[in-house]
Amino acid sequence: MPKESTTTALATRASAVPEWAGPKEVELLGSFPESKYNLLVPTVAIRQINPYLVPDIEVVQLSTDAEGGDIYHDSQMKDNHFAPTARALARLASVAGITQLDSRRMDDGKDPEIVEWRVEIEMTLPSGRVVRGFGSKRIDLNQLAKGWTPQRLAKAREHLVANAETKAFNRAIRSVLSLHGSFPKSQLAKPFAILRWVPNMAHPDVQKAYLGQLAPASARLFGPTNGDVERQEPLLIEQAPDDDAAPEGVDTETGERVEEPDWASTQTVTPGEQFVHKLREWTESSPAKGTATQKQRDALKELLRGLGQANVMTVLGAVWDLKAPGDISSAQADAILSMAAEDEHFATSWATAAGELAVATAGEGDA
Amino acid sequence: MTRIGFTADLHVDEYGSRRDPATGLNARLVDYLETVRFVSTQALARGCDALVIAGDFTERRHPAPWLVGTIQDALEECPPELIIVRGNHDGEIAGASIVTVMGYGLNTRGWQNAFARPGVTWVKRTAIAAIPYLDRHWLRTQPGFEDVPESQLFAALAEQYMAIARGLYAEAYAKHPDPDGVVLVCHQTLAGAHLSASQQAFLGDQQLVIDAADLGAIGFEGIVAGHLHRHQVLSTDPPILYTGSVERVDFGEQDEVKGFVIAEVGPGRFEWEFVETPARRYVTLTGTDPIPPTVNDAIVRGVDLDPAVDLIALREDLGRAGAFEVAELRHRPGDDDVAGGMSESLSAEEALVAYFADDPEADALIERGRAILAEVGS
Repeated sequence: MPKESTTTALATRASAVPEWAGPKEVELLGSFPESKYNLLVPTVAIRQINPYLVPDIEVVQLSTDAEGGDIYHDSQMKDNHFAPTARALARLASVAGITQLDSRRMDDGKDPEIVEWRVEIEMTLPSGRVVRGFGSKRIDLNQLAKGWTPQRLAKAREHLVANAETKAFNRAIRSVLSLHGSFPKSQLAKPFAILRWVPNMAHPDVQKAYLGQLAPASARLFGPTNGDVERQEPLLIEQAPDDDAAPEGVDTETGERVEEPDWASTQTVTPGEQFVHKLREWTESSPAKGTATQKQRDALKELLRGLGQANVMTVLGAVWDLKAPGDISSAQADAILSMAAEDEHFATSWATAAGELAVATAGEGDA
Repeated sequence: MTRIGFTADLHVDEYGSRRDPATGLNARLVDYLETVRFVSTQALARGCDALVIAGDFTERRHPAPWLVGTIQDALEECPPELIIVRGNHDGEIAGASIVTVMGYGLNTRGWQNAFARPGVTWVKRTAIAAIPYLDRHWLRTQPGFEDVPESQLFAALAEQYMAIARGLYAEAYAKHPDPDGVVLVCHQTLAGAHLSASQQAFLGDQQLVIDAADLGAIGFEGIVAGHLHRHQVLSTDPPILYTGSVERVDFGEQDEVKGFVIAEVGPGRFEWEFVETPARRYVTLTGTDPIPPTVNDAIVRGVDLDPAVDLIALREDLGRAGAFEVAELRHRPGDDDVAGGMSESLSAEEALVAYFADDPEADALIERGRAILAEVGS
């Protein structure tokens, strides 16, 4: 688990904002004695000049474990002295509100063994005053790399530019935050306390101001209107009236009668009718001749076994007017077996068709 | 008091090549779906009033309908409210993403709990302020931002992001002046957070980073984020945390504990616990490591194995030891594999010498090359 940074709960709940009685001194550091914290706070007492901004102290705890990646030691430092890594300095810079103004290479790039980098940064103090600082780093492998192994030199070349930039940035941060190059480990074990000002979200006027910014900021970052449409109740639109008053089967431009294709028919075709139609079509397209072979009969017996004699005969009778299963032709058997091979729900379709045909037959009888 | 489950980075998708014999689906996909089902049912069993998913439902940006359907099935048995927020993997086409699609199938409040844009929803008297993943692409297309440096663009995004977070907080209080709590849910990198090794390789520094401390100072009872797969706590007052992903995505996450978070939210209170998920293990073997019992049901790889190790025999042994999948097995590279040859680490002159080393006319060619280099360099 990484070491944690914490934010003091100076921002009160929005429901409990005290009435503003004018500018006042805010004593913050009682809870942050120097014996326990590295204070990156320039003054002991802070003056709050309006109710819209409140002071806030952020505490950053660096990991002093060797594996933590927040501190390091090298041979140029005193014994038991360590320096914050680039990552740790970047965390402090982020919390302190440091912004980078410029970062650029300063050398002409002609010598691949040399890189010089310069970084300029800025930080706004709690007083409102802006502090600007810079850091630069020149790395000359012609001088530095004497006696290095080829592997080490290759590695150094690979990271030459990035190293120069990082070291320049680190120097700039250290200068603006007034940090030493290295510290005793015990010093780095103490958390860093950093002061900054934040909007007082407990204040109704501040809330109102940010509420007003919400929609424009959302539109600016997430695009306009799409989300607004998403978040509205869907509109129920009634079916539009038919604006083509011409009778069916008449060309609206010429007035000629036209024959509609099958797919344009408004009549509903039931699954049973589709099944019967398909059986007839497949029979017509089958090349088989004569009566069904014994092999076909055995296969049909196996296929239709679960459907029941009545269902089987209802369909055979309606489709081909057969009186008994033995009357089936080779083409008809071929159609049934081919359709069954392609339709995994063939038995269900057959049963559905049989049911529909039985109802239709009963209806005709009633009539 | 409201009890809410928080999870993120489901990344339900197909990984590896193993098939689940029972379903015919990719075996890791089945793993992920089971883990999502675990999160959902556990949140319900542990009395949560809502489950919030802070983005990244799948690995691919535009999942097919069948995949969306299986994820919905896995979330079927869940707390009364399901709140979903769009992550960077939940790509949009014409304003619609998996979040908007799933939104219409959500229980009770439906689309009101699906956030592809910032908004506030309620669980009892607790407000959930949601900010979906924000990238730079939209702002980059706006007048004045077409060619500003990335750093300036990110600064503008960060400023507006904070305005939105504060605006949502204000919106919650505008609706209920005395809520039980306001919790921010987002899918973003927050300053001070650690990426997993594989995410570091892909995301690096090329992304928007929001100041967690600034968010924390707004007044939210808690802030729960998705995007980073490693479960981590950035702050304790107020709690700012990443739930982390529910499954291990690759070997970069093999040592990470996976799970989700359940929190009790009340005025000024956000007490949370981490519930570990039964994520599949990843095991890496190196050198001449003997096969440990932990390879059983694990995804295993062998890297930098001793050259004496028989890779075919090792693969068979791992299969017998119950490895779920063997990702890769490779020997430690020998010295010959890394030294020599052309590389970016060479200077121009070194590269010149290396290039013509085997040429019978090397001396003349190198001499000519040096002259050209001098000419170009002057």
